[in-house]
Amino acid sequence: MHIWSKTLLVLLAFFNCIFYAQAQWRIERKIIIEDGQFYFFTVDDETQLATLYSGLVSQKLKGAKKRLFPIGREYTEPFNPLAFDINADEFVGVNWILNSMNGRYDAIKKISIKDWSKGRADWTNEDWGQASFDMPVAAPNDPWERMLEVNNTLENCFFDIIQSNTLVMGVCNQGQLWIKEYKGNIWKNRAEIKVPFKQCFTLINRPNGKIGLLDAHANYYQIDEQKNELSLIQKGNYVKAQIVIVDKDKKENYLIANEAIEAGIYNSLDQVIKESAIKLH
Amino acid sequence: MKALVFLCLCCLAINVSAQDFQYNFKATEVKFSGTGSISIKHDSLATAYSTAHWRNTGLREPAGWSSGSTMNATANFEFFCAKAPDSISIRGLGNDTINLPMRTVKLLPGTGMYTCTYPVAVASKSFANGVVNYYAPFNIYWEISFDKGLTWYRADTTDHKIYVTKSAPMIETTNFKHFHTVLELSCKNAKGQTTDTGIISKCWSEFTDQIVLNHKGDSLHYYKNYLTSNTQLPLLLRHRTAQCYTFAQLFAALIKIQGVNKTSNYVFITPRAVASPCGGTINRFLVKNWSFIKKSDSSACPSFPYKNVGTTLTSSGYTHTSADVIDQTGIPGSCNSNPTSFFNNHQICKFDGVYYDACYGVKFSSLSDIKTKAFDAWGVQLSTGTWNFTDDLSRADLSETITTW
Repeated sequence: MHIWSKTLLVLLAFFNCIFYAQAQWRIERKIIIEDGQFYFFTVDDETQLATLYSGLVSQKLKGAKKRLFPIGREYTEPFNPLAFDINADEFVGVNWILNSMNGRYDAIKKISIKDWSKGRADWTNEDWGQASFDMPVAAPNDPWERMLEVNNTLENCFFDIIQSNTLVMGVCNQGQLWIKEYKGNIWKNRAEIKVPFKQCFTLINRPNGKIGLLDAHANYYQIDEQKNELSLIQKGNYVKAQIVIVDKDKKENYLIANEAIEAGIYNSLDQVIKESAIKLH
Repeated sequence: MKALVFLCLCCLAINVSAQDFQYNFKATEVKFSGTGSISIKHDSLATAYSTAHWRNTGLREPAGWSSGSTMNATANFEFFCAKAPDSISIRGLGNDTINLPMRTVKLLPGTGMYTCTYPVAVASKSFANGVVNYYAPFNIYWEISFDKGLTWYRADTTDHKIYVTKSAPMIETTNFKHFHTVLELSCKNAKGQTTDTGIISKCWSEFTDQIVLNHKGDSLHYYKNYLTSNTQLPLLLRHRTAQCYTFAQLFAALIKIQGVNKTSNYVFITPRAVASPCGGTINRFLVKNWSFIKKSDSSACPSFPYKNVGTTLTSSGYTHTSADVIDQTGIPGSCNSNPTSFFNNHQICKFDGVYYDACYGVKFSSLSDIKTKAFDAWGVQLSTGTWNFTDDLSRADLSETITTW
């Protein structure tokens, strides 16, 4: 074999490796689309720090802008992915980094995405961690505190947060799910439901103004606040957890497999949704 | 006839110089296996050790079994002799009369020597059931015989590190692996123990002198670098400096590796979320010792009068723009006489109602004991970059969140 063809093969293998490495996105919970832009996060299990990916929904996913973001989560079993939402440039999320200086009561943070769009090349991971602890608090984490008052032994404990006009948080422990809303600087109970969850769940703002809930097998429910129960809307029964795409521009929600995003890295998110996503009703 | 001539020659050689003969029969590799064996993981990357446990090139890798299991072993040898028989018999004598039975093996001619393989054999007896054991070393005295076991000659010795856990270790999770250091510390300390309480008590003794070392004898530091963000056991073992979480996890791991299943064993403590009279939520505490110099905020906030401004954590301590409360050498932590001591939260273990703080090697009988014995102050953030403190410990209490690690 000629030397140039060997070199070509090595180069091809090298770029293939780069592509493969790029494609290993383990997207945290959801992708949000707002004003024609998409946003999603990955989290490094060791540093616990999040990386924000963003870009135009009409452009190739592989061109997503990537930057560290002052938020994160621990990696312990059972696993709870990063709980967050984005509205009008404002990120709201639960900073669940395991660190002796990170307070759980102060963990619900709000951050302007634009303010953090510049890289901070000289920052260490510790600097990013400290920045995450110092972020402004969006609301005291009373849902967590109240849950602990009921039972401070955690077993199958999961949480998620969404925001539209108000902040809504769901916290589940030992089969009891509380849905609380932060309005007028007070957390109010919206529902209290017995659930069989042994894996994480995701809250979704439904187009009808109700709160939707997706379990780990992508069974999609509406939270019935009168009856304090989950009403099944759409059966999922997926073995693997799915990613939710929250399209705030079209007011539509979709389900997609992480693998479909990885496979569609040379396509736009618009196209990937058309080809691979399932609409949530 | 050929064998008889050889036997005479070799016996003559041994009789003349047994030492010389020992050098002529050398173990080159030993491998262990068997039901109940433990796949031990490297501290550094949590990957399993190779399948060979001993090589004459210097390789020494640990082996482990749960008690009641029986060791299986195989070995390779080199045999130097001008004229060798077709076969020889080999056996291995181990500690506690755990022996490897006689096997007669063929000698295969090689370059300037013969080679042979002792095939996988089951040891003569199991590791004592229900007892933790620690063999450092477990020596196997390899003996050979030219007359099918009538006469034995000591030929070579291989040395091994063997761990025996009371029961099969708890199943591995993301952060709990069957790490080398976990087996080393657990089996070394709990050697001879037969009960869960005995295991917990003996494993705890690893922490009480505030010197915790890994299997190589290197220090595991509690905040060698004040800025460390390592909060999972694998990171403590890899980097050897970490936060409190990891020492609690290490202690819990020493118990789990013995197959002792204790739920609700891991406790996250933090100030109960109450507002200070000056505003803000009490969410920091100072672990002893801090000196209280002046009360510069006694008018604005009499309940939290000590004020530190611009506190910055550096790799070895704290700096302040101004400070009423200054860090002093205090309660020593693992391999660190003055670890960081300004926290929002802390993690400890809880077994049978007793709180074990593995970072400092101290036990507490109740949650309230912790604040009175270990804390100097509560803290509250009243504005960005400013922390106010009180040495009145009755102003707040700790809350505990319990999980199973």
